[in-house]
Amino acid sequence: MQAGATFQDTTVLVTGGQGFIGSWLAERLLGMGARVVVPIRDVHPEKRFHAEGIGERCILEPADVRDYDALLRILTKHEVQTVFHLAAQPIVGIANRSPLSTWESNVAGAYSLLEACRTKGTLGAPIERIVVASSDHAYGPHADSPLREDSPLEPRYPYDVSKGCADMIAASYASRYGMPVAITRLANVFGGGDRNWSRIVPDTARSLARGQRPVIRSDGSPQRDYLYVEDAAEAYLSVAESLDRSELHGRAWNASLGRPVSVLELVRRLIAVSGSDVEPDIQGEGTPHAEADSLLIDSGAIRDELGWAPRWSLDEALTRTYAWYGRNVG
Amino acid sequence: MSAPASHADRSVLVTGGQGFIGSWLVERLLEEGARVLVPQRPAPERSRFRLLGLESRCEAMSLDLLDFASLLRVLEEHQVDAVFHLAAHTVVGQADRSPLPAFETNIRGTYNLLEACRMARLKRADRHVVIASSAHVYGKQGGLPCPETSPLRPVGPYDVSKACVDMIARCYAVTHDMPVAVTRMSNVYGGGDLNFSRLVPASARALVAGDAPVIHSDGTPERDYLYVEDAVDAYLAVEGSLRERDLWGRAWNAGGATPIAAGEVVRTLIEAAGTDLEPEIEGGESSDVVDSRWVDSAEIRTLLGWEPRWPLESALQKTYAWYAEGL
Repeated sequence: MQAGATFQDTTVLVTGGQGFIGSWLAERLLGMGARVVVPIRDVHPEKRFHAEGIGERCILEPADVRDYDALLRILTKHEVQTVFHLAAQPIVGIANRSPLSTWESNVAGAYSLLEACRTKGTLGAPIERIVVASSDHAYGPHADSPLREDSPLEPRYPYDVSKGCADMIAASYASRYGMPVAITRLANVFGGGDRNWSRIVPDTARSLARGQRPVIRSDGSPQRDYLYVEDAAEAYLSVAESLDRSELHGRAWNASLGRPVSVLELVRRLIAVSGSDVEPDIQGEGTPHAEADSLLIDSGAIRDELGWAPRWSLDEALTRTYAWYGRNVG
Repeated sequence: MSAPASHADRSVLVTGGQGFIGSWLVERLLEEGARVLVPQRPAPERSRFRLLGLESRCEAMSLDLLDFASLLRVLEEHQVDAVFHLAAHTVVGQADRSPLPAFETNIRGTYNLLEACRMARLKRADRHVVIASSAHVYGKQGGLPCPETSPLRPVGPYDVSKACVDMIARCYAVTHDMPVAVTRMSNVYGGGDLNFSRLVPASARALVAGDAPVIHSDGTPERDYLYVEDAVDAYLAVEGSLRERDLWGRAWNAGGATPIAAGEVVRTLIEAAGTDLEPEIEGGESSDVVDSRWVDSAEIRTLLGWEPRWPLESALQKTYAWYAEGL
């Protein structure tokens, strides 16, 4: 199912629109004829949101997601109909070093935005769809995967806990106030535009683009579930459209490619699509503290109930991804 | 099991010290010779904190949970040895009507405090942080009583705010190696609770006025009730547990031994009041998401040797006596 005319000529707020996944979502929404409003805190001219001309087609509003008053003003002023809440401090390592700023953005940001949405509703113009980005990290370490959406949230480390909190808070707005809120729990998203070099795909792609050997800090065995960013954007749109059915309010939706990929396999495939034949430098350290060893999620619900499916195979997605790094980092 | 540590000459910060449970905890800590710090807040005129003169025996800190710098200052300048974090928006109905202040105080207040503890090097093994979560974090569970390993399935904003507090607090122990513990207590009752939306205070107030207590539900919803002095014992036992490193980061249930129906609580209270009024049973829908809430307290009993000391009858007599005198 493709997101069709739902968003044409409507106003959509994308928090985190300047960021990696947000920029793809904003671009897709613009392509469908939506007016896209993006709150901006720090300005990062190097990001694809600006560098690829997406930002100049959006309505930019200076605001921090912690600022309830500013959010309410933006929602009201632009008569926002759909909200995608992607703004977050997304890096696990930063959350460990700097929990406070992570709590502020990821937890307080979520309830400030949801509360602004609720208030706008009490003023007579309810938001029609609110999609809050949680994460597969919200599940925490589980022995039994793949995890379905009804698996308990048992996060242990700061980033995971921050997403678990946002997830529960979002669900409470649906259950207590009957608001059209849905939650996404996406696997590790990769694709062009991700400049978080602590992640395996950006780090490997940059090394390859520079003609260097990719480094694998672990022994290469940890398995993860991945999702290509254009498929992620499509998942967000499908979940937003699901909110036109009130019986689906308050649901959380997993989305991933649905098969475990080891770090080593991922790096080897990326090397292959880049046309290189270097060998990765495997350093063999253990899994970093506070990162789940392997976490697989079950995307059966979003596939069966919303008709979403990844459009790109892993190799196709990696090819598109590498092309972006090849153009942008040398 | 080890006896709770004496608090003689220790500096103890009790957020929410002016509140219901806080006032009983403060009183105990003062008896043990602790220097007790509380955030400066206007205590209601009829609060136990005021009536007992606890106000003049505590140091009132200029401290706001939403002001990170003020937390850091108090922890550093006053060499705080232990923190009991009880301050919260505690009334479920209020939190649901107006969630933002509840999220701010409960969630942001807690992470600010934990972060200040981390920054203030409150990491030494003798400097303990006990964070009040709640039995509400369990939400609707299949089997009762629920042990601490039950998944958290909170539903409404209040319950969710406590679940967030609970997860955030435990993550500081795991990630930053801090002596932090979490308490999940069931319905605490006793003298000094001025939240009259709750069953025991509302019924006691009615009885003091000579009126029949009103039960909004049909009287069947069951909760496990915990007398406030037993709750204080539990707080002290949990704080004492933090002397053992391998107990850091745990959540501890504490509740009464068996769940009791609302109707029975009210009848017992009527007996304690020495009247023969009949409760007025309205039979309305409960606003709560669960019919029965019952936590399994086996862990705190077995590992920390805590036991509730007060049977319902005598505890309700003591409770009623407070309302008869305090109101």
